[in-house]
Amino acid sequence: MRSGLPPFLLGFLSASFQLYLLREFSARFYGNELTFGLFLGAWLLWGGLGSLARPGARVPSRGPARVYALTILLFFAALIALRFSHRALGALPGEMTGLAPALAFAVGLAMLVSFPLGRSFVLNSALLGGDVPRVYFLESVGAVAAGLLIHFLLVPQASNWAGGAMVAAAASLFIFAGMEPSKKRRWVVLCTLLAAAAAVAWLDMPAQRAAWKPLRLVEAVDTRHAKLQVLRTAEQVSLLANGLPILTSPDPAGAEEGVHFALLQRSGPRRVLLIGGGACGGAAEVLKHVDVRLDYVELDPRVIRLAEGHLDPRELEPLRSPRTRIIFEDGRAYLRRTRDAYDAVLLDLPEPATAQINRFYTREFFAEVRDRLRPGGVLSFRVPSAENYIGPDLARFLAGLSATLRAVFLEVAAVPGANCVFLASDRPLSIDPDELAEAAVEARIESRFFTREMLAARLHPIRIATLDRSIGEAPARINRDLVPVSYYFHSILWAAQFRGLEADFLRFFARIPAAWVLDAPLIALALALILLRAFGRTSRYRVLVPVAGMGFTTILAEMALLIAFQAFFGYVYGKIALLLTSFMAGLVAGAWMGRKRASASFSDLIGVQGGFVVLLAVTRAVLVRTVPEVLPYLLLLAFGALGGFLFVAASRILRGNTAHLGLGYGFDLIGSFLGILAAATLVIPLWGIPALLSRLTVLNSLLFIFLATTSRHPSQKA
Amino acid sequence: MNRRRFLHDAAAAALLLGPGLPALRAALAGKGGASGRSPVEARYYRKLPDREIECLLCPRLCRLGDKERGYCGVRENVGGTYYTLVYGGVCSFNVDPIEKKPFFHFLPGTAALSMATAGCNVNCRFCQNWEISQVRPEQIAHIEMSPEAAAREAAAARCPSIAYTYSEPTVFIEYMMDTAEEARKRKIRNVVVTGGHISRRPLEDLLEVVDAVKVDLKGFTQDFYARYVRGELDPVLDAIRAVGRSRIWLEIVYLVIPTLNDDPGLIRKMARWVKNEVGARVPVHFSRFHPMYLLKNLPPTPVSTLERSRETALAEGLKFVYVGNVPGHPSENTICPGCGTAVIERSGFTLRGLHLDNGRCATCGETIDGIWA
Repeated sequence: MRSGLPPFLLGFLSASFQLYLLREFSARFYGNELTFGLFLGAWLLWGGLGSLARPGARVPSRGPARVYALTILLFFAALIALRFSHRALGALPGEMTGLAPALAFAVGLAMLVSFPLGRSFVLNSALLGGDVPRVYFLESVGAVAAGLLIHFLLVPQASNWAGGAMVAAAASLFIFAGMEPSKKRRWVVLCTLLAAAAAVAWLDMPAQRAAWKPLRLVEAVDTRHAKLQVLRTAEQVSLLANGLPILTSPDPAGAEEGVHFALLQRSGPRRVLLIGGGACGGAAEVLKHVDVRLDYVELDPRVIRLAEGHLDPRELEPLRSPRTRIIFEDGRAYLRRTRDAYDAVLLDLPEPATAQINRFYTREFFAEVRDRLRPGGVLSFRVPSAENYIGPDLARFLAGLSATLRAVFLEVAAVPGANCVFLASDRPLSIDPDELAEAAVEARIESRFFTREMLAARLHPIRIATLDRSIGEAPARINRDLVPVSYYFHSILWAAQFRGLEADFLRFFARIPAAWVLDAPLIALALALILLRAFGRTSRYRVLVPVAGMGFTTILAEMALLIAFQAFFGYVYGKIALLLTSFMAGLVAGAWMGRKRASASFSDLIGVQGGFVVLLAVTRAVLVRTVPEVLPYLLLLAFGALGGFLFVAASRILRGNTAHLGLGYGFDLIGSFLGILAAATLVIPLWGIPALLSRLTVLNSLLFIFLATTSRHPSQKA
Repeated sequence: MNRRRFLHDAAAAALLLGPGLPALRAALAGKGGASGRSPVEARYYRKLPDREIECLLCPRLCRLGDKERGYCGVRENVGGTYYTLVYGGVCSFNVDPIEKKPFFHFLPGTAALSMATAGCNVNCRFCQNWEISQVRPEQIAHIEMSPEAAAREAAAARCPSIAYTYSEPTVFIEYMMDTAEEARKRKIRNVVVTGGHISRRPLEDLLEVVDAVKVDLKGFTQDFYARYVRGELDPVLDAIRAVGRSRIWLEIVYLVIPTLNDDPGLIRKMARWVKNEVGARVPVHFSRFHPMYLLKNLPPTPVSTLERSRETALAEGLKFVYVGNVPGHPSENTICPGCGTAVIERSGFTLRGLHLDNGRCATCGETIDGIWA
């Protein structure tokens, strides 16, 4: 057996399986960061528990190979279980399921795959004579290799299942060739693994079709940005991205309300910018206004290609009109780049159910729109509401959006209905049904919903007053790029649909002061460190404190940088492999530097801890406005390097003092689990990235002080 | 909060996300048990030994111990006496076109004062008013409105009818009946928009005080009702039969959900049943499903499916069959079964033409069933 191969494969398999399961999990549970965090957290927790499970007295030399072969099969089982998870839940395909099932699946699937891989870390360490830093280094190299392979080769070319199968097949060959050359049954194992991989790759589309029955799935593609699926029933076509509809056609009601409330505000609009939704009737409605030239911005070209393949050609005519210009670009990037001015900017995007979409509902985005609107120009967007009752959760969500608009625009109006249409401008707006109906007649707009009677029913004074009162009375927080509260309040709305406790849990944290979650734990930690200093200063196990702190810090910083990247650039899912690879490359570099040193001492830990403090402060300082795209990569690299160095240094200090080779790794991952659970679900959406980074700086300062004041004990060299 | 505490809380949270402990869940949510508001005694129940009661309002026949609530969440047994908790607690209150309910053969072109309280006795996965139907009264905001005040509001808004709608009016039957009587004193009519999941006796009492009932027939198999409605089909059919055989005006809505209840054979069977049990002249609306609530990610119903369903029902002999939730569709018009002319022309809530002469087709004199004035 080549001694470096097993730990390399461990990192390779672990990163690959994590990325593919994360992409599939995200697609199954609506792509929001809350479920994203649940899965990543569960993954880290099981990895940590796997490492903490004590190794037996004898470690078989073929241990890792067996575990890897088994994990590959379990990975396939996890993919299948995820795809048909709705059946287990007694739900229809596409039916909404709550946080509790998401949590159950996250924990269950992560256990299947991550636990044995975590345990493999211990096996590998034992096989390398307890050289934990070397295992860590090689594992990180494997993870970097997987990240690069997936980002540059597999994601652009293959579906998640096919990509996962290819990775597994390649790993199987490595296991066969490099780890068990003398084993008699190796051919059976190899053939089984390759056959399973081929079956998974081949069955991807049939399995998707089977999972969607009784609905008819006609096409599916995994793009960089999402899992796109096309459903067709007779003439009705729906395009879903990560399980959420982004386009349904025909949909005259949605198309009309998304366009005409805004364009009927002023006579004779000429330039209109439409962000999303053009392929499902929005463009056609805009072009009903005879003098308008339309710029339609769409991020993912595959959306248009899929629409062209399945929509009625008549629906696509407006997109081919000489009055329409289609721009394939992120909507915010386009707004920053263009010098054109518009009479109206129309958003036809899903509601802010994810941090990815939330960036189109923030104060910063609204300011970018305002800068591109002509005097009197109108911004319009719509979000799901309720026609007959505005409850406190919905009111708070709508109030936040309204307040965010008011922070930028002088005039804001909200149209009641099953969808709430928001209008904003620097000049007065009207939602008087008679005035709108008259404007529709003057503009010669033929429409089903902009008749006097339809408008009168929707815009009855009681309905307008109810909505205005609900919005006016609800507590409102401004939604910002780096404090995405609307995404959090939308999560409450989502959770409220289920009869479990999810919504109450989220409401509870929305009610309590920030200090309870952000500052009280720091005070508690400071007290704990004082006690530890008093009673445990002679123990080498105290190095586990910075290791857990490092796991907690790096994962939170990673999450903060990913969400900041999302807010600034909008395509984190397309770059997730590369971003994570930057972090892993940092780990490799840090671990390499750690191993190069002749010995490790507490002063190394103190230095790294100081490095964390400085790096966090720098990150906090630069993330106040849009940064160059390369910066998040560099910061992730730096966090990885510090983390890798610290882990190796701590492991070397512990070496010889404990028979438990997985202790440091386990603490690292459990710290990471706690970090991601808190960051993804609560801290970032509710209190924001700057507040989080400030507290992390304080936390690391405390750890720095703790290490500095406990470093004078003898025998600290290792 | 230290790490151990944090871990403890995270674990507790994870546990609570599941079925959880009711008391703890209530404490976390800041809720008590019974709300205690509007303690009006319920009308349809019977007392059992040991302070238990049996609710007789709907086919669920909930048997409840002290301090327990029925499935609907708005009726509570307190010490052996059963109370409604939503009497006068109006959570939704609007003025809507009567066509929105939809009633197409009942005072067309008029407005109905529309109201609801919290609660429902079924749990449709596609409910469009789940925010009020699937909650307890103490979980949502409401205004107190006596039956007299409701009738006064309707008169002030010049609404010739009050519609009990949005959630399930069966669960606020005491308030609905009292309001209906107050409305009648002011010559205001009363219409009920219901899922029809109601027992015979309360329905018979209700039919004494209201003028029209629209029943949402959500499917035509028990399996569909069990899976997607959490109710039963037979009691709904019994209710439709009872309304159809009374003097009260009846319309039926069938919400067509693609692939779940749109099978042409099923539609044919349903149309036959309507014709045989309540008559061919009862209006039937095939409404378009718009993705809502737990099924919000499903596609809407193709219009061609609704058209096919309508054709099937017409072929079975039904006389007044409509396509609903598709404003501007020609099948929103009322077509005279005698001469085929459009006697009522509609586009959405817009009444474009009314060609009736004293309840008869202005062209051929055929009787067009309904309540027209």
